[in-house]
Amino acid sequence: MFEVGKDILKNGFKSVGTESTSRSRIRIVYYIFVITFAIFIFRTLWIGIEGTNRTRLAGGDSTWNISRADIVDRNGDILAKNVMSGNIVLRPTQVKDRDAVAMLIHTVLPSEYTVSDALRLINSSRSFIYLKKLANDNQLNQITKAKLPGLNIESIQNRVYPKQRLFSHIVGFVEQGGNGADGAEKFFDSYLRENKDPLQLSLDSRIQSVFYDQLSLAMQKYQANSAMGMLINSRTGEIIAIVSMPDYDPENRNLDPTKNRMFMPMRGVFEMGSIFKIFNTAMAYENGIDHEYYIAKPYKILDKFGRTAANISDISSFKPPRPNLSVAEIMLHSCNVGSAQIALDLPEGTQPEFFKRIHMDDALNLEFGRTEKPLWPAKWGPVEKATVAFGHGIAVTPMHVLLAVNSMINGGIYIYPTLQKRGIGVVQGERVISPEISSRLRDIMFRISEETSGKQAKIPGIDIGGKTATAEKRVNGKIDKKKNLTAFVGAFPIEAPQYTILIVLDEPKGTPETFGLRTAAWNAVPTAGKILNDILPLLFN
Amino acid sequence: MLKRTEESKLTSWYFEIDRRLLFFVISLVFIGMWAMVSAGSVAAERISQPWYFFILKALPFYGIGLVTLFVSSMLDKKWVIRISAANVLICLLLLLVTLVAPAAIKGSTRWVNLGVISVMPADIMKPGFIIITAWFLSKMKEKFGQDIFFNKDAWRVGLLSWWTYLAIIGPALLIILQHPDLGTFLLYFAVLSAMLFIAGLPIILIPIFIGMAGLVGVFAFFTMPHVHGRIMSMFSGGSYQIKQSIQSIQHGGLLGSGDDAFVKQSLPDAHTDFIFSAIAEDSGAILACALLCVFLYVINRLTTSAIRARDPFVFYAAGGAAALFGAQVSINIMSALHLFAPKGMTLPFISYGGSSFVAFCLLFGMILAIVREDKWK
Repeated sequence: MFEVGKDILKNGFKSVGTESTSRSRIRIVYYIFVITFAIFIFRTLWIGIEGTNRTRLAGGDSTWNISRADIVDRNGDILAKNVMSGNIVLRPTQVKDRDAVAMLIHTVLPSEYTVSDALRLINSSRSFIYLKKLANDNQLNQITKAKLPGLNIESIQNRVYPKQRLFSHIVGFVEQGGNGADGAEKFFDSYLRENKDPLQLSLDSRIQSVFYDQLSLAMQKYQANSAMGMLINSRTGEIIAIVSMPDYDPENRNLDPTKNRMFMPMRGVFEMGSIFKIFNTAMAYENGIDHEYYIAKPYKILDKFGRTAANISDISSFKPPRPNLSVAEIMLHSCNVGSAQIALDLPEGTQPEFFKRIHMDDALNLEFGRTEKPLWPAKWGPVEKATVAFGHGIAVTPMHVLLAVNSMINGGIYIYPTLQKRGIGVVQGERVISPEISSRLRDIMFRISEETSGKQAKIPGIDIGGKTATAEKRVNGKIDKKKNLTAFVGAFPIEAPQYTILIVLDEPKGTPETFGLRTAAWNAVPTAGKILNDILPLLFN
Repeated sequence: MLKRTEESKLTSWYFEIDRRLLFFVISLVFIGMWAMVSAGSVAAERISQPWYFFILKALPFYGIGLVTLFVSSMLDKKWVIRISAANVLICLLLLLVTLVAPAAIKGSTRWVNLGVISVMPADIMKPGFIIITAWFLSKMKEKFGQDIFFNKDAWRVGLLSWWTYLAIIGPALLIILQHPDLGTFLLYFAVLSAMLFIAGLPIILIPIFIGMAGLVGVFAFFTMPHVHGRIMSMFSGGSYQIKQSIQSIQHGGLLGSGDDAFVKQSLPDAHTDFIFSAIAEDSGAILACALLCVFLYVINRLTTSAIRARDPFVFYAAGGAAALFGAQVSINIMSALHLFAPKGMTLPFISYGGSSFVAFCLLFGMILAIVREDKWK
C-alpha cells in the first residue's frame, strides 16, 4: 500500500501530457456523462411508469378516501364540502361472466355503450378501461349492487366550493392527496381530517360578497394591481370578511396565474402612508405633546454638518386652514410637515418601543397563518423618525395595520384575530394604550370622516370614524409619485366601535370621474363608503 | 444538387463537415421549436399573454442562431480565435457593466440591457471561454512542453503565461460569483477543471480542485439564504416547482398524454428551466429518453472528434465543448427529475432564451469549423 502512496508522491506532481493519456482522460469525462445520462434515463422511465398506475392519479390513494369535514360560515352557509363520486372501471382480464357484464354495462350506461360495444371492450386486450368518469349516484348504485367481478368503482371524493372565488384565499383548497394547501383548509387541516362536524368560521358570506363585488368593481374602475378588504369585530377579533384580489378559483386552480395565490393582506408588505399618523398622534398624547406647530413651509431636517438631510413637504393638494396647527388638527388634515415635527419632538426610543408594543416589529403568528415580516428602518435617525411619522420608510402587511388600528380605537386593547366563531371574552387581549388616548383618537377619526378626507365614507344613521392614506411607492429605491397605495381604515359606530374595516388599493389609476387624481379620497374612500352602505343593514339588524 | 465531383466552396463544406453532428444539432433546434409551441404557449398563458407570445419572441433568435451556426461553421481557425477573443473581451466589459448598471430581471443583477434585448453576459461568454481556453492550453503546451502546471517558466510573468489567462478569466468568474450566480460559476469551474484534466492535470491537484468546488458550495450554503433554502428543500420533498415537474412527467406516463396535458399549465418556467418535464408530459417518458439519447450522442460526437483530432487546440476545444454541453444538460435535467437542488439553467437548443441559444449556435458552428479544418487541411 505504501508503494502506491509513494508512487503518487513521486509522480503526482507531473503533468500527464502524452497523447495517449490525454485521449484516455477525455474518455473518462465521456464515461462520466454516459453514467449520468443512464441515471437520467432510468429515473425518467421510473417516473413515467409510476404515472401509468392510474389508480394513484385518479385518487385511489387511501389518504384521499378519508372523509373531510365541511366548512361553514357563521350563519351555517356551506363554504367547502366533500362530494362522493366515482369512476366506473372495467378490467377485462378479471371478467368471468362476459354476457352479464356486457348487459349490465348497457343497462347502466345505455346511451354510451350498446351490448356489442361492451362485448368488444370486454374481449379487448386492454387491462384497464374507464367506462365512465364521475358517474352519477344511480349508476354507481347499480354497479355496486350487481357485484360482478371485473366491473369496479374507483371512488373519488371531490372537494367542492359552492362559493367559488368568493373565499379563495381564506378558505383555501385541497391538493391531490388530500392535504389542505391554503387558508382554513391548511390551518385547520387536522380538525377537518379528524372530525365529522362542520368547522364553523367567523366569516359571513353575505358580507364577504359585498366586499368582493365592490372591490372587483374598484379594481376595474381604477385599474388597480390588487385590492384588499378586511372587516374585523373590534371586541372579539373575529374576522367577518377578508378579500384579496386578484384571486383564483379553488376548483379550477390551473386557470389562474400562480401569482394570484398570494394572499395580499398577509403576504404583501407595503409602506402604508398616513394611517401611521394615528400611531404618531397616540405617541404624542402619551408623551404629553399637545401644542401647535408651524406647518406652512416645508420642514428641513439638517444633518450634523448643517446640510439638508431631508426636506419634508406635503402633497400639492394640501391646503392648511391656518399656518399653525395643533396635534389633533395635524392628523385631521393629514399634514406631513406637522407629523414629522411631532416625531422629532418625541423622546429618544419612543417610536421603536411603541411599534414593538403594537407588534409591528415581527411577523404575526396568527391562527390562520403567519404574516410576512415587516421591513424596519435600518437605524432610527432624524430622517427615519420623521418619515415613519407619516408611514414611509416602514413597511408592514395590511393585517398588521388592521390589528394595530383596531387596538387604537377599541379602548386600547390589542386583540389577536380569530377565524372561528366565538363570543366576547374568549380571545385574550393586551392593553397597549390608555382608554383616554383611544377616546381622543376616536374623536379625531370621527372628524376626519365628517369634515376632511373621509367624507365620502359617511353613511346616514351611523357615525363612522376613519383615516385615509395615500402612500407613494418606491420603484427601484426611488419614490415614484405616479404609483400610489391608497387605503382607508375605519371603525363604526365610532363612539363605541364594534367593527373595524380596512380597504387597500394597490396602484389605482386616475379616471375622468376622479379628475385624474389618485389619492385615497377618490378611490379607497368611496369604495369603503359603498361597502359600508351595503353591509350596515346586515350587521345591525 | 451537391455532387462530389463539383468544385465549389459549398460542396467542399458539405462533404467535409461533420454532418452527423450538424444533423443532430439542427434536429435539437427543431425539437426546441416544437417544444416552444407546446410548452411556450402554456407558459405565455400563465403570465396572461397570448399563446404565441414566446414563439413570436423566439422566432428572430431562431433565424439569427441558424445563420450564426452556418456562417461560423465556414470560418477558418484564425477567424474562430479572433471572434472568440472579441466575444470574451466584450463579455468581460458587459460583466463589469453588471456591477455598475444592472438591468434587474426577476430581482437578479445578472443582466445587461442593450436597448433592444437584455443579455446575460455570463451566458453568452461560453463559446469564447471554451475556444480561448483551448487555444491558450495548446499554445502553452507548444511553448513549455508537456508539463505546463508545475513549470517555473509557465508561471513567470509574460505575455503567454498562466498570469495572462488568470487576469482575464479570474475577474469574470469572480463577478459571476458575486452576482450571486452560483450555478453558472460552478458550471464554468467544472468545465475549466475538465479542460485542465484532459490537458494533463497532475493527479495530486484533482482532489484540490474538487475540494475548492466543494468549499465554494459549503460557503454558499451558509452565507446565501436562497442556496440554503434550495438545498434544504431538496431533502424535504422538493418545492412547488419540483412537485409540479415530477407530476408532469408522471401524468405523461410512458407514452405521453397528448392533448390531455394539463399539469404543465401549472408548471413554473415550463418554457425554460422545466421544459424537459413539459416535453415528457406531452410525448411520454420513452420519447423523453430518446431526447436524452440525442443529447448523449451529441456529446459522443464531440468527444470522438476530439479523440481523432491532430491539432491539440481542436482536441481541447471539442473536449471543452463536450464538457460544457454535457454539464449544462445534466444540471437542467437533474433539477427537473429532482435528483439535486433546483438550479435554473436552460436546456441547450431547447429552452427559450434568445441570447444563450445564439451563443450555443456560435459554439457549435466554430467547433464544426475547426474540426473540419483539422481533418481536411
